[in-house]
Amino acid sequence: MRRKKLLTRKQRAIRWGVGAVCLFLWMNLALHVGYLLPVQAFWEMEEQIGAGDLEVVDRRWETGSDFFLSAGWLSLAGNEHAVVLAPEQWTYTGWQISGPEVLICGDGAPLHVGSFSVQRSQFATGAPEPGEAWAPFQTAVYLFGRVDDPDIRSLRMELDANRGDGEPLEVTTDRAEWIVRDDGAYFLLRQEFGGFLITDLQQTTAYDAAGNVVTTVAGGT
Amino acid sequence: MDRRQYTEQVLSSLRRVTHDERESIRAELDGHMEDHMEALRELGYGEAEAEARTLAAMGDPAEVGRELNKQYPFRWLVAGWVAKALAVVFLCLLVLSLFSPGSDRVAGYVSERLHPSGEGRSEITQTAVLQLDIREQVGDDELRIYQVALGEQETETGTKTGAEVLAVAYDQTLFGTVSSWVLGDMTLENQSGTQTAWCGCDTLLNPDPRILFIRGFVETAPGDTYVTLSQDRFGQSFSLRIPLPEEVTP
Repeated sequence: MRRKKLLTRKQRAIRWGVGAVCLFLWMNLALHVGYLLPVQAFWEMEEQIGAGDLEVVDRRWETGSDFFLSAGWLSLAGNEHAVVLAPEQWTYTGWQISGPEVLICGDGAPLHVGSFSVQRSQFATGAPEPGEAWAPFQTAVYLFGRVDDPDIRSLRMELDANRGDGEPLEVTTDRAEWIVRDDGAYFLLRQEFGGFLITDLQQTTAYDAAGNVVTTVAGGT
Repeated sequence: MDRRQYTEQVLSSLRRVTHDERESIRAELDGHMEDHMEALRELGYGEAEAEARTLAAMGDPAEVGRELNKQYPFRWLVAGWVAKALAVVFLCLLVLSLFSPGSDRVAGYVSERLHPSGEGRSEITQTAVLQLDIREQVGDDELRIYQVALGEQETETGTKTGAEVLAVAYDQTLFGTVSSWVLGDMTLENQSGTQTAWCGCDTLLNPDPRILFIRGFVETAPGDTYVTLSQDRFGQSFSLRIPLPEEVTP
């Protein structure tokens, strides 16, 4: 009597493992989803930008933001052609980077600056302390970029926010807070403001060590 | 002890086997003993004698059970569960991803890569069309211009006459990611250089990272014979002269 050949546990486990690997590779390579590592999403972003390999100069774990679905990585990267701020978030289809902020460089400009804002709702910050009022929203503004002129020692950035009082928000930073690399000095600042604000970077003024204006840039570069 | 009791004694000494494995072992034992008994019957032994000799040849049921346990190591059972769970999770992710924009068009991606089609992508009233196959390597991507047409386009400021260029762009590696920042945002210029326009792909409407459907329209003057598509970004630059079709005069 011819009996059906039985698979051993090892053979069954290996077959299921091979099937899982094939599915995983198909998802990643053909459909570009299911990234289990954030670096996979970063590599895809590099391909989409097309500026070549980007060196990560700063990487932060950000929490408590609706945009990050409670947590995610924020990476500042760049090379001679571009400076990129990449928010990496975990979704049900794996790690994704949606909407990186890209500053196009390589034009000889002394300064490249951009902004990115996210809003945090009450659900992310938790209930207020007894006696405190609810703060339904807070806005975190990220200012990032690269200073290519070594004479520039500090920056003052003015942001327009729809607060109704017409007053711009000001953020200052100096070289001590920057990350100096061969291709320039990178900076990534985070400022928090109360309320749901839609911010717009109006102007950035760069100063040398003596406080003289080196250059002024309107808006983001 | 009969065959059934023997099998039950063997199975009772098994540890950490699943229900399916237990039934498989039962079937294996029954089949082995039946084969042995059949051979003895052919030699002239009676049913009871054949069964007794078969049980003796099988050996001590407890010992048989111990040996079978060694062939079913627990670590491979766990490994199989983990592999199966991962396969199910990946299958679910695959199904979920089919509802994401762009990721389900594998067949369409391959078709457009091999034979790009202007059907449904032109936004002008065409008066003349020219099919092309101009290819340009841009980094590790390929830009493929497949159609240029003359005609009229309705805009907010009125009707404009000019040339429409249709192209696709994709990574040279099958299913690779194409650079939307380089090939999704180019400049189209008319022959005299007096008119320039954006030529690219709206990635919000076409979020597929593998292929870009590119379109551009620029005003041209009567008698123009070409338009120029160019890009200079991130150290990658090119300037392509695209011939225009001859207009058919009524």
